[in-house]
Amino acid sequence: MAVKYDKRVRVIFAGLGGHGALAFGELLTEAAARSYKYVSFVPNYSPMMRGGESETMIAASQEEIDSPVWREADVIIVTSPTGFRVAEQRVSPGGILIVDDSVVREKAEREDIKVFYIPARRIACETGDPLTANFILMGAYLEATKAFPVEILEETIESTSKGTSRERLLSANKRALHEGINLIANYKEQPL
Amino acid sequence: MTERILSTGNDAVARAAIYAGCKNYFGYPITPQSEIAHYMARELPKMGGCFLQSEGEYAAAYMLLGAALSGQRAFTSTSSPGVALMQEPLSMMITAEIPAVIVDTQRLGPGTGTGGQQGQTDYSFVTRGVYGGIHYPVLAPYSVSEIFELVQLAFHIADKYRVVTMVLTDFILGRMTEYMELKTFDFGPLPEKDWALKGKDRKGGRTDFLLTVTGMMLDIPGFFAHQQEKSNRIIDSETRYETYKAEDADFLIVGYGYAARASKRAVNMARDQGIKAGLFRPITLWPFPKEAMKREALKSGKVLVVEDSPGGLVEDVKLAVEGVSPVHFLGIQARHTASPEGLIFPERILQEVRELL
Repeated sequence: MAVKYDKRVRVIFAGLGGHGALAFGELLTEAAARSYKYVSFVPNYSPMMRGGESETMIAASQEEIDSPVWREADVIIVTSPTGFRVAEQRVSPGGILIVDDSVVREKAEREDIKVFYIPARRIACETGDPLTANFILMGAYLEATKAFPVEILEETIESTSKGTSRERLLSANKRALHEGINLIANYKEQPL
Repeated sequence: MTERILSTGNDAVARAAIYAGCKNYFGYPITPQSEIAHYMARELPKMGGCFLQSEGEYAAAYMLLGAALSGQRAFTSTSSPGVALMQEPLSMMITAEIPAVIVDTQRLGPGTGTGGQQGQTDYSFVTRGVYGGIHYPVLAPYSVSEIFELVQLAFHIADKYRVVTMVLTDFILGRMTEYMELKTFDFGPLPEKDWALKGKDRKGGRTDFLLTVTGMMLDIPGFFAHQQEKSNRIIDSETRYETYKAEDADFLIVGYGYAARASKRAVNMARDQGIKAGLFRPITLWPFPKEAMKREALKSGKVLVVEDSPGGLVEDVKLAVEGVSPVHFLGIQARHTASPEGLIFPERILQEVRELL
């Protein structure tokens, strides 16, 4: 049963090649498509398979989406040290910036946005599944925005990974998702 | 009920070809459109069709010529440098009036460009016709669902006029995902392909096609008069465009492809700020909707052309507008970053509109 949402979704994942920006975008788009009438997903990356800037833009709405590309997003997840400053500038006023601070060393300067620092890459490496870092960030995104119930994401992870190479990561990805949710639920502001 | 699915633009191209009854694909992989070939390689053999990866674009286009000459629908897809390599066979097809479809998922040029990233730098190259001075229709969708419709339309136009027809997308449109409805579009009746080489063993089949095979023109003025007459029929019947909030606009933005989507958002953002902006979007780049462009420009008084290139569309707009209103230009210099993933965003377009007010 699809749940109807009125809330608009406009999210950017700004990472480097290999960080899982594409997988993040594809999954979020699939999940959004279960609750929203219109979705758009644009991957945009440099020619390098590994290490180049890699960005995905995801939008969902009950109304037709005029443009699938935009400078400003309501939520930006950033894992690219070189793309961090640009990403910070692209959050809409009052929006949310989620930073993987095990990769990005800088701190945000803007005061009109909410910033969460989540060491996703480090935690993912410690659990032995470095590939799950983007799912930790997905969980953080879910909890920070309440854009979808976690069940919709879990269902989507199951249905989209069935029969693919991602299937072996299914339980690890789900665990990572909840890890991210808990990190935001128990989030304490960091002293500057 | 029509099925509504999530699809990338490139997959929409492949699906549309199959929906249009095309079972022949010849191509050579090139970023950012290889997914079209992947789809055809996977699906065509299942339905008794022919998928063939050639040794290069030149060969692929000649294979296309051969298949289409048999009267079957056939298509190829490539990206900017690939279109350049196909020029000779394309011109041969135009000369011999062999209908076929070619999809160009543009990548930034010139030369190798960025190696496959976003750009809209093919406009002038593909809208001025093949060498020999003959134009062919170029359709420019701006969404996944429109790609699905216009690729089907391209097959119809190709068969109707016996002409090569191109669908022009770009990296963003090819790689993006949106919803689309799966359906076969009915564009009306088509003439019988009595010219097709069907082979000796079939009743009424032909095995010769002198003009085609030799490419020789014995009556030169007659040949060009015929091509001109055909071009005029295409101009009269197939010119397409769309406007958005243009009725009361006093500022008109013009764009195609992904730049038209960004422009549409810029129109909405401008309206939110009390600026009466509108969008004019050519759907056929050739034939260019000249009269409608001039009429809308005259009505709104100010025109801004947005395209992710150093300027191609802007030339057609200026020709069409004939000086009745100023034509401004926002091009590749307006990208948000200097690196290959740079794009022209709606916010940047709005800024330009505000500065020009």
